Amino acid sequence: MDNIIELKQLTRSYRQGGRVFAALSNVDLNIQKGEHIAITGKSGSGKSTMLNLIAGIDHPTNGSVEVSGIDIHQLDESKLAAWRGKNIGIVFQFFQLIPTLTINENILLAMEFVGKIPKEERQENASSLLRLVSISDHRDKLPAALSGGEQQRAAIARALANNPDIMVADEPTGNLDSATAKSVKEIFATLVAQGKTVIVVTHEAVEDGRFDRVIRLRDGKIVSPDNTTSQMQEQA
Amino acid sequence: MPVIFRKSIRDLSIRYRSTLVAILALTIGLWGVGTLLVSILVMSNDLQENYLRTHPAHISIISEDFAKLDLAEIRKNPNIEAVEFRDKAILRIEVNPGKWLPLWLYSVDDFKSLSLSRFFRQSGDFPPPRGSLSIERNVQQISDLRIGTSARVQSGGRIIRTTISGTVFDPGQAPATQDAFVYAYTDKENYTRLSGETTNRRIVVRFQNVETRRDVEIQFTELSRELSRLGISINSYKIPKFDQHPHQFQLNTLLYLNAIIGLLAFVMAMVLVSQLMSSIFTRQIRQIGIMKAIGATRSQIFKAYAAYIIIMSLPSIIVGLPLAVITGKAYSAFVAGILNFDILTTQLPYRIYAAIILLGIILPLVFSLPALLKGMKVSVKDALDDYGIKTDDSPFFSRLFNITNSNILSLAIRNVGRRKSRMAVTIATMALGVALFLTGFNVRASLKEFLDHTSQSMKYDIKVVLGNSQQSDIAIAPFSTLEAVKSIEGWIGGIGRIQSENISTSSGIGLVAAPFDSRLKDHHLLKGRWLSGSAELEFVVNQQAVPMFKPVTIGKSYQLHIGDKRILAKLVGVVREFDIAKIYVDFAKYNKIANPDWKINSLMISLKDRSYDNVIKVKEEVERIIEKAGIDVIYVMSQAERAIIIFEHLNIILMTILFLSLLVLLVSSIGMGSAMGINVIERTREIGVLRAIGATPGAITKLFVIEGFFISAFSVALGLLLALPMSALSAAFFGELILGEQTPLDFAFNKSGFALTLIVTLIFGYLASRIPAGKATQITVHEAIAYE
Ligand SMILES: Nc1ncnc2c1ncn2[C@@H]1O[C@H](COP(=O)(O)OP(=O)(O)OP(=O)(O)O)[C@@H](O)[C@H]1O
Ligand SMILES: [Mg+2]
Repeated sequence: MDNIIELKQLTRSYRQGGRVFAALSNVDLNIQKGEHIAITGKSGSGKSTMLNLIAGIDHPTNGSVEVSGIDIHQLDESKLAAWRGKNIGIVFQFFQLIPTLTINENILLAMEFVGKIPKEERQENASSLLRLVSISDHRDKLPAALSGGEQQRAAIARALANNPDIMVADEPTGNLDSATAKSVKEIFATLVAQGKTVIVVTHEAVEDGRFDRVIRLRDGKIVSPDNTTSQMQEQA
Repeated sequence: MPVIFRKSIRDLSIRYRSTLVAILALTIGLWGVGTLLVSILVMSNDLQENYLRTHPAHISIISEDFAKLDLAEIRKNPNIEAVEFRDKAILRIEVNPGKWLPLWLYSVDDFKSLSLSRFFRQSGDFPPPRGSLSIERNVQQISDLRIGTSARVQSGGRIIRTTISGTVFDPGQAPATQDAFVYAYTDKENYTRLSGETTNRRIVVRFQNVETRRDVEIQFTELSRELSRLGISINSYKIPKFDQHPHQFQLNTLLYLNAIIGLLAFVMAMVLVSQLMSSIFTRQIRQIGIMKAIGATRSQIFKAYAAYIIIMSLPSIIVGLPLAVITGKAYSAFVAGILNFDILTTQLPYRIYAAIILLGIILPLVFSLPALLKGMKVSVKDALDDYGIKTDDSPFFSRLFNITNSNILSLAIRNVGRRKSRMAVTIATMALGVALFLTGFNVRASLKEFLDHTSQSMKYDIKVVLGNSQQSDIAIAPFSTLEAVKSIEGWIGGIGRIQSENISTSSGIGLVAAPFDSRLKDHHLLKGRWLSGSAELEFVVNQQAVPMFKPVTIGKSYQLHIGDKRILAKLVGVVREFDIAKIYVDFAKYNKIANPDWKINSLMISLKDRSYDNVIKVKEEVERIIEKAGIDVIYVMSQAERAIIIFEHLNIILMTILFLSLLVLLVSSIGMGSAMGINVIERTREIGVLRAIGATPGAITKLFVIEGFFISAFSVALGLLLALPMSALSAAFFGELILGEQTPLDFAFNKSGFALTLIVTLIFGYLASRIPAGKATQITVHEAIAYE
């Protein structure tokens, strides 16, 4: 088995008015390299929590997240950030581009922080990413001047800036119309075809066979504790 | 340029208003601290240098036997750096028609080669042609004496004319403007003509390798032995404060004030900076989260925001540094003018520029650090979740919220409780400003009260000091024709000495023999009691005399040297007054010992009508009598004028206090204004929401105004609380400085100062909330809600 991500007994709880509430409890999950995974479930079921823990932008209360054999939550804050920059591309529901930088600069900034790509290759890389997501024309505009779909494509380009092995996306199409959403989904499919591992949180119907696997969450637990790629039945 | 720095610049230019306020705060802070550094450096150096440039004498010695002294002989002594004859006579000179001031006339051996106690040519002839005077330059400010004036000099009851031929600058003298003395320098012949005294009776000496007053005393003992070997006996001597300008205390006060208040103003400016930074970083939290999410490490983020601060520091240095140099020099020049010294520093040392630049860069960084670290600590998830509106109601404010029933009022109160730390800082800053402003007023009141008390304690109006002591009735007779006189009392004063355990002899101390039950003087007793009619000889000293015979013990007997007599007398009390060191003894008992003929030399005249105009009128009459009868007079002084002279000594300090505290209030006001501004900016979206659900602009303005009022009210209350100990401490400090050790001024509370502070603070609180609130209600609801 070629597990790229292993979640072990992953728990995230919040203290609320003296009571402890688990947004995610004792989740075990393995994800293989090159898988295209969907995480679904009702609002509040813990989807974002799980994704954030995988991306290393939130800390578990218990359990561990191992990525390529590294227990990422054992890393200190700066090492974790550097690791994230190199290995994970994150796409947010609300795009989260830096508003005072142009699209091109947003992508360059990600490369600048991580330093994985040599300086002289960065602009070339940014240009090819912009072509990949088809927004080359908007490269010198500020995010506010772009439509939602264009911004989301820019965010995907930024997430790919350091050529990470894993992409995570939290409802990347939640704010987009269906046509635009479709083009974004196609980009993800392309990435999977290139061998990247892509994990997407989504509210939408997932029966179209695009995903290798669908993880369903309810009240912080996986309801289809399913580790094989063949099982894709719908749970009521 | 790295993209991250491009971001810094763009962020700062988009939020240009906050950026400008921050740059302004930095500039003001740097300007303030720079002015302070420059003026402290220039003044502390230059007054001292002005003084030392004169090669001040360490001692002056008077002897009738000096005529047979060959100075060349003394100069051979390796311990002596310089020695010169410099006779000094205290005469009177007419400064405007009918107005006479004391004239300190010096005879000078050789104007062209002054080896010590030097003075410098300013204008006119130098050296003064035979038979004429050079006057000290500041004398012109208190008189009509100019080059070419034929001045009238009174001496031994005669009036002699002499020409003013030039002005000189004598940094060794207390400013003529403050002491109301005329200093003049002339040749020996003219000196004798004017004073009626022979020359070569007083020498001024500067020793080699002395560092303290004690060293001077030791050298003097040796010198006096040498003189006595030469058959010369010393009549008297005087050791001035060691290598210190007579008005160094004023400068010390000013420097102290500058340092303290300037430092506080600076701290406030820095608090303001850190507040602004914290608001900038608060708005950046989400972006910090994004950058972390895409792989930025802490040090990368730290560098990015350090760049922010440096970008703001640079303009503040470019503007603040030259301003600081200009105002620092200007302030030094202003003080130099008042204290009559020249600014000698032309080129400031490079290290001061370096220090200001360094301060301009490092301090904002240091003061922004807490905000920066806080921003960096937030986890990515929290940063991305934060939408800028976060309430942290404290139970206290929540309770207030529950018991009030007006919704607007309760929202306003709750808002004061939000962002608690910023409100705390705002209130603390404002309170400090209020406290300082109040302290300024209170200290001023303390000083004023002290001055009033001083002039009230003297119940006589005009004091005439005669050149020779005389029988009381003979002395008083010429003045019996004066109208409207209540009484004339005769006292005698002179130079006495105290012998104590530690100090065998000391320079002269003023001795005043007055009837113990005289009604002409009230005493502010610090210790013990005033003189009584008991048979034993008693004496009282003022606080300035205390250090001359430590330890001072009430009830103990000390040896007094009066004239050539030595007697034991019991110390019964210490009084406080603004005067040189003095001893008081009872007139009758003094006469028995040292004044068998009951002579007097001071006439204390009290008038029925004590108004200023009348006193001045009678004083002119007194002068006419003196002139007509040819009475030998040392000086005529009215209490009214004396109060003015004392006030002159303190005025510069009072002015500085007021000016600096105003500055502090201004800085803290800007602080409050900007804090309110930040509040409004941060709540723009909330304001939009409130308006969307139907709040009128009036209601929203009211919300902020009430908030501003609460902040002002808290600040004033806290400031008042702070001002009390601060005022008491300052009163103690000024007492020590002006009056001598352990003589605090009385604490005074300036009610009108408090009222003014209250009004200013409330008005400012109102404006500081009204203006930003007005702006916030002007933008559209849509813009407000979309505001990030
Ligand atoms: N900072 C927090 N403090 C307390 N509870 C939280 C916090 N963040 C999330 N939760 C709770 O954890 C649970 C899971 O949240 P999560 O954001 O993972 O849900 P989700 O499945 O992504 O929902 P949605 O589809 O609405 O985005 C929710 O009940 C939420 O209220
Ligand atoms: Mg979610």
